[in-house]
Amino acid sequence: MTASQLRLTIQFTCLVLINAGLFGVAAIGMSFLPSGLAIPGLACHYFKHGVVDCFMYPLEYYLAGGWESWKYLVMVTVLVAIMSIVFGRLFCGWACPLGFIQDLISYARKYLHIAYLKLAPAINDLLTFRFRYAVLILLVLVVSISSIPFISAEWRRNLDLPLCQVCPGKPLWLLLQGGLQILPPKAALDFSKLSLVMLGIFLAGAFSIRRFWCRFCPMGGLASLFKGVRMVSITKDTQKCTKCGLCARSCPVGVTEVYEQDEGGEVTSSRCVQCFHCIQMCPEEGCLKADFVGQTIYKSRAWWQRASALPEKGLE
Amino acid sequence: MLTGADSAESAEKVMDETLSKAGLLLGSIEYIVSTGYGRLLVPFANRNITEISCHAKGINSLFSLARTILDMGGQDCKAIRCDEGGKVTNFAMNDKCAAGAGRSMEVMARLLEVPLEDMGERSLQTVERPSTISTTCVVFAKSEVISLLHSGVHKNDIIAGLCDALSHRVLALLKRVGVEKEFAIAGGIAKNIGVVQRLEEKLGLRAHIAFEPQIVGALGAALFAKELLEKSIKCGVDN
Amino acid sequence: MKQMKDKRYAPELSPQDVQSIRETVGSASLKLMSESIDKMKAMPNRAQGMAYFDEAANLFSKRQDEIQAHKDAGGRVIGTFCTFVPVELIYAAGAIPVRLDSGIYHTVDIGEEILPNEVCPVVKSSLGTKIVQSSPYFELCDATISPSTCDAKTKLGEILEDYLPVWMIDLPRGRDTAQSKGFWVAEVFELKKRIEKFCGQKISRKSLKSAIELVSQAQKAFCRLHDARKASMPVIMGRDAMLAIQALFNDDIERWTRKTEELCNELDEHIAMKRKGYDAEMPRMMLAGSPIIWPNWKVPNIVEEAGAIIVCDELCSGVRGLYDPVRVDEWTMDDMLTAVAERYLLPSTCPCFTPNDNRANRLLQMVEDFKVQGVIYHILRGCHTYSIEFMRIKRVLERSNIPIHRIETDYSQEDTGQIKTRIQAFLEMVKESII
Repeated sequence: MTASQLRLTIQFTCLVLINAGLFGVAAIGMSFLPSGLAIPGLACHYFKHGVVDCFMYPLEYYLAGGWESWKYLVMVTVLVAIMSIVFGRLFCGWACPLGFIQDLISYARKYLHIAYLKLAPAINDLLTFRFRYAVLILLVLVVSISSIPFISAEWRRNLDLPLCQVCPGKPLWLLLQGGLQILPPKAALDFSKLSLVMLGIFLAGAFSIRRFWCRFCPMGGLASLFKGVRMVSITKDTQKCTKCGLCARSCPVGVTEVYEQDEGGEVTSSRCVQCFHCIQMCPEEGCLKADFVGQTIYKSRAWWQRASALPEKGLE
Repeated sequence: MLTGADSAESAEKVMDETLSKAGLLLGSIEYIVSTGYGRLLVPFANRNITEISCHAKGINSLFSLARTILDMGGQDCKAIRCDEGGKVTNFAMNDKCAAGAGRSMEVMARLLEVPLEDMGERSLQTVERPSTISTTCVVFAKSEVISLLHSGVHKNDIIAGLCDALSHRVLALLKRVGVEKEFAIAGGIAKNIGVVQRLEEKLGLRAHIAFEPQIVGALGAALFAKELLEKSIKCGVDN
Repeated sequence: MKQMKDKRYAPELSPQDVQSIRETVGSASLKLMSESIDKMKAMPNRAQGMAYFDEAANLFSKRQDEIQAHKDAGGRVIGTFCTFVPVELIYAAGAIPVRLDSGIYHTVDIGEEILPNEVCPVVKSSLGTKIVQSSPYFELCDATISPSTCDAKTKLGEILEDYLPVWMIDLPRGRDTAQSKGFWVAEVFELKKRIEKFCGQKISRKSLKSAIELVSQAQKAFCRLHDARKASMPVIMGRDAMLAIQALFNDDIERWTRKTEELCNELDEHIAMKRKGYDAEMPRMMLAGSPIIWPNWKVPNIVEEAGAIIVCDELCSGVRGLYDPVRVDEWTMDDMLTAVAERYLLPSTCPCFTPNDNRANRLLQMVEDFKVQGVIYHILRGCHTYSIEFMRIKRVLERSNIPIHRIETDYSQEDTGQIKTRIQAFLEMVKESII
């Protein structure tokens, strides 16, 4: 099994097991958090049987709660930090349901032999470095305003959970669950019009640009803040590197650091979603490696020694 | 003896002459190592080793402290670095062209009608000042020397200029391997005091010079032969 | 394609002259080839699989009849120089690529009539070969693709335009920057259109894909051969491996792949069964620097006859030409073409690029992988880029305690004695003990 096949399987498993609540019980739901809340990470709040949230939802929720919920806010922040440090952005590459949908759309595009749109590095940098954090800061501001007591209740309601008002995930999952009759029609349609527009942008973007959403997803931005201390990293052996540029060309989010960095060692970029596709594509034995606390968990292999001399064909 | 057209033949001749002088027979010599340009063509040799390794070995046995060796023979010039055991650690050699090798001195000596042996001495007895020879190519230097002669420059000054140019070229070669304090010169050029002194001045070092600089390579080859023989006897006993 | 009007460089030679020189050159190069082949055959325990390559590497082999038949059936033959021509595109358009870099000594003088003295013998010889029409493969070419690598090769393309259509592909000297990459990718896209027009055949997604697979299979076979040379008890002499690799210059790629696989099976058996290969005590040498092109086997012959083994090389006529694969991520036309373009530019360590930092890394890695004990840096007189980079490579290798020796030479035999002395002395130096 190739890494991309394994990844697809894990992504599907995460979607079904965690989000669709096939664990049966909220076994890992945290009893000390108010009911309805779960561990931050991996998933979307709007899955009916879900036991896990995304990073943003609980943060928004408790931030909007103002002073009364500071204890919970601290708790969630610590949890987010721990998750980010331990798992890095493995969530994004291997578990996030939105990432999974984007990958599926990419497979469909590949099947149709339609080339993806190449973003100029400058534009990509703008999206991944600037826009991402601008979104994050904006969200915090909006939530903070909504928590100010003298703002009218109606305004508050509109500003409540601002990300969920624009996130394409909410309508996507609600509609999906409605379609599968997990949710009643009324609940399935309970999303903002703006988020429906965002869903359109998300789908169109994912079709023409690989991992379009991940380039500025605020949850990814938040997880990336812990880049310096996280336990999962990608390392490069400069002496083994032939500078063939495959890592840069095959990266779904347009990371160029792995190719450009010439000092070797840690080459993880803050925009890397840790899908390890570069490691899979790298033609040199042991040139690129994925490490977990210094332990190699995956490394590149000499291209010609694989079962097929040809690179993975995807769904072709 | 100068190498003739046929290396094998001249090797035989040298061998015969040496054997008759020493009163020995070829059969009584247990191990022979050939060295030098014709080393591959010596019919009676047990083994051949390059003159580079042999020079290092030879010099090492004479001056055990020497770490940098300059060997300048007829057609080429070698700068050698060795370790305390006389093993070569680095070397540089002039390319295809023999410019700056001993042969150029020979050509010039004939041109100036000065015995080769006197070239060194005379280069030190400059009348005015050493003339500048701008090229090291034997062919071009020849015409340069002729024009100097025509303009009435004293022969000694020209010789001084030649020695200066030669030492300069050798210096460049030496710098390619790096020069250490203990420095030795072997090969025919060591007999040319003019080149040696100038080189010493340029390096700021005193060179060790072998008593018979031309046979240092042969000495090294003989030492190798001795070691090789000892090894073969030892291996024979072991077996 | 420009129509040839006035000859700009080509010398005026009567057909009779050409005919007579061609015959002399032909017989002389046949002799040169058979001499080297005999020397290689004389090595004991030579792999039987090499017999095929002895024939295939012959510059006058029967392969020319196959190519002629391909031409008679309306197919095209396209000549290539250096390692930068994307042969996948040529195969995809149903044409046959032939590599034209020449290692024949006897045509150097002929090239010298047009070219200045300071030009390297590869270019002189390649041009001379065309002037006297002595290479059947060059004569079979309908057009040639000439990448602008070093100065001599760049101008060679211009001179050759007197004889046949030449397409320059412009190589960016910068390579590592995004602009350079974009420029080169555009150049390859343009080349695709030219080849399509010339061959009268569209390069479809399917045909390009199968061409990439075809070349990948050959490269996979090559990588096996390359890997077999890592064995601590050598099973193949360097000259043999180099000959096998260079046989692909003219050979049918599928047959070459098959034969190389067979050779590798034989070698793997040798390694697995620990059957007697070659003396494991032989110093392991790497050849670096200017191309060594069959039948210019001067340096490899001297090195291996002096008792060393060439375990690897970084020559563009050897390992570098086949080492880096085309790896396609998505099989769209766009991605395939980009993958092909990038494979030829980005991993190349040709010193015509500046900066060329990865060359030193590549050498160090090879030294490690192949347990190289010494590097022989071969410079062809007039090959300035390699000559300049010597200093840098020397520093890097010496820092890792790998001895390196520089040999500057050309195709002539006059300095053989001197080079023998140098190489033997270098080997004596590399070995633990001479005794």
